[in-house]
Amino acid sequence: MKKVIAYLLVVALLVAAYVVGRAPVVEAYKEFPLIGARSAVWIVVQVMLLFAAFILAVPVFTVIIEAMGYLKKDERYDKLARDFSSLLPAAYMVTAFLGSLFTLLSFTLYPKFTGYMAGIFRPTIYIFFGLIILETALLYIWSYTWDKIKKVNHLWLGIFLNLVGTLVMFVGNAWTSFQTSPAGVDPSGNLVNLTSAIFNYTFWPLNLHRFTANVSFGGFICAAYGAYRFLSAGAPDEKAHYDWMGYTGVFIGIVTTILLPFIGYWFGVEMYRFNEQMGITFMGGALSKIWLLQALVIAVIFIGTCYYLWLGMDRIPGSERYRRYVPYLSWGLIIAFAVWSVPRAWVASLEEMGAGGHPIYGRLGIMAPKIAAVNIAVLMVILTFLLNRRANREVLPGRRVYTYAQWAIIFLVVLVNLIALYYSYIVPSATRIKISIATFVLMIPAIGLIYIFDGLLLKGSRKLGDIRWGHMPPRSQYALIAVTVSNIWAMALLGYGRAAARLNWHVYGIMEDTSKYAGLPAMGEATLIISALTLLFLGLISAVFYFSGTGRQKG
Amino acid sequence: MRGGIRLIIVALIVTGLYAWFGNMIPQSPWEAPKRKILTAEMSPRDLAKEGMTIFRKAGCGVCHSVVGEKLRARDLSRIGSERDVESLAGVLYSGIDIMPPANKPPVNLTDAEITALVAYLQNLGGRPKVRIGDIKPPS
Repeated sequence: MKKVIAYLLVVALLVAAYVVGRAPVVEAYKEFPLIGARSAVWIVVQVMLLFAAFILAVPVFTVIIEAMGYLKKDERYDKLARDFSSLLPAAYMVTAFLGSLFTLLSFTLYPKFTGYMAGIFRPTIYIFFGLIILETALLYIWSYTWDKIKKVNHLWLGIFLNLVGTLVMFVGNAWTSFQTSPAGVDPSGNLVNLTSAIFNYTFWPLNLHRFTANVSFGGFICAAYGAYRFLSAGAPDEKAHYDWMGYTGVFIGIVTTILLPFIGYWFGVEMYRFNEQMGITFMGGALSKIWLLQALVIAVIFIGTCYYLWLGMDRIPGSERYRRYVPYLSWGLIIAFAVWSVPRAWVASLEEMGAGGHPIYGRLGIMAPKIAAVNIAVLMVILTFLLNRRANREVLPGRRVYTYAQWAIIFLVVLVNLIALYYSYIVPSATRIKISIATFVLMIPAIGLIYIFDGLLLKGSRKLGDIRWGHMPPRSQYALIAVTVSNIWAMALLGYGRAAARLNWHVYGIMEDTSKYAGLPAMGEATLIISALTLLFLGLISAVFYFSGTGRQKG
Repeated sequence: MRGGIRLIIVALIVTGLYAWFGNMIPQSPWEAPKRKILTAEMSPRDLAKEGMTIFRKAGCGVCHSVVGEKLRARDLSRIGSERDVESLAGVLYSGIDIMPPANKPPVNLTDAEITALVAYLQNLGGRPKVRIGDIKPPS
């Protein structure tokens, strides 16, 4: 079957080459039939990036889970890690195909731009392909030596695989971030310093943001896979395994997701440092509607995950004691996202910016109070996880002091953020930004201390019973699937947003887009394409899951 | 298979919801600015009209109000009576604080477009006087 797929992929690639090659030449651009050049490249590159995110993320947490299994001497973790890793070979094949198709489309539809980028980054292209060959070889060695070499050596091999995979991503990010914030070139675009071109303003924030988002994305994909298998499973032990898989996936997904607003803020700061006008256009100008959609999608991810975890408390003996907190947590999340979703401005073009703010909400939609609201939403998610951890534990009386310490920290965080939220509406923007950074910085030790105190609190505690894995209503699994689909959609939306920040520039301020697609589509058209490519990705990844599952069963 | 069908239904509902929402909000695509030929024969008033379009398309209104509101940068509703041609052109060519030079990317205006923009700014609280060729770009 794999051979048939490989042949089909090659045929599809040749057909694409033929179609693109026959397209009429328009100056530095060529046209693509039916959907146009921009949509063709957009769809292919985004689906490829989603696959790339998957194949980079899965080895990261597979190695972590494998290490946990090794340290805890628990076979379940090793089985789970192996389950995840079995998805990789087929996913690699699809990624390689999409990568080839993207390269082909770029060179044929946008020859001038692609030629320019290849000229600037020529040495890194050789490094990129060298790293891909090394990564592929390592992946196959890593996959086929699972039980054949010592576990410690296998773990080191996995770490090395991740290191190479991360470097592949860094090289690709150098090219993408250069498009957004070019450096190391003169005003005409001639290369002056390759190192500066690579390490441009947005290079490191993009690296960190993509790495974290990839792990989060991989976690959610595995959670959805667990949900799909749970819904299809009949035997109780099978349901229990996939319930646990879904929980582990969503845990990885949400823990890494709560880091993303902080890293995203850093990305925004670097964008402002590079070019204030770009930053303003991105956050409050022509792209302001993206943030409304982002708030909606992130709200679904956060509230959907918490909903799944609240339902999951029913399978934990002793959780009844904590159910009374759930309404407060849900209202906290709803209010936080209501603040977040207030639009800063209601424009889709720079011409409409004369009035500055939103016609109804005015200054209510400024960014700083939203950061305070995000902090509070993150805190609600952390509290939900704490309830899950504590649900089947009876704490020793002498250790209750740590609960009071945790409450004190939570109270302090909420108070500081509410004060920041209030003052952000009335102080100048420079002060607002400083307040936002301070609230962010406060969150990191606060979260750390909450978890340290939780560890101390649960030390020596008595277990009230085993978690009844598999005892979950179907709606919990629908929530997991909805959260995963939203995560994919969010990645595609924000990928579009980052590219759209360049407006009519291939390389901002250096190479102008003079094609008929210069400019941005209306939000409705963009969301249709994002939805279509999300469904395309889901279809392809489902095929990967199906063939990986078939292969595993045969094995 | 049962799980697969349910997965497809949930995926269609979720992606459909976001696409529906994206299409429900007011739509206005952003078009790249198009160059217009500005000639020496144009009157200052005609230039000011063109300058207003350039002001909007170039994104000046993101930071500057022309109706007396306080936005990110100074209000320009009386700028025509407060600054002379040289001062206005100087700021546009060299930029000030966070405002980028208007003749360089990403704004990337031509000398004629900058002259039209100056005519528009003169019109705010004053009377447009400048013509194409009056402003000498810095060497």
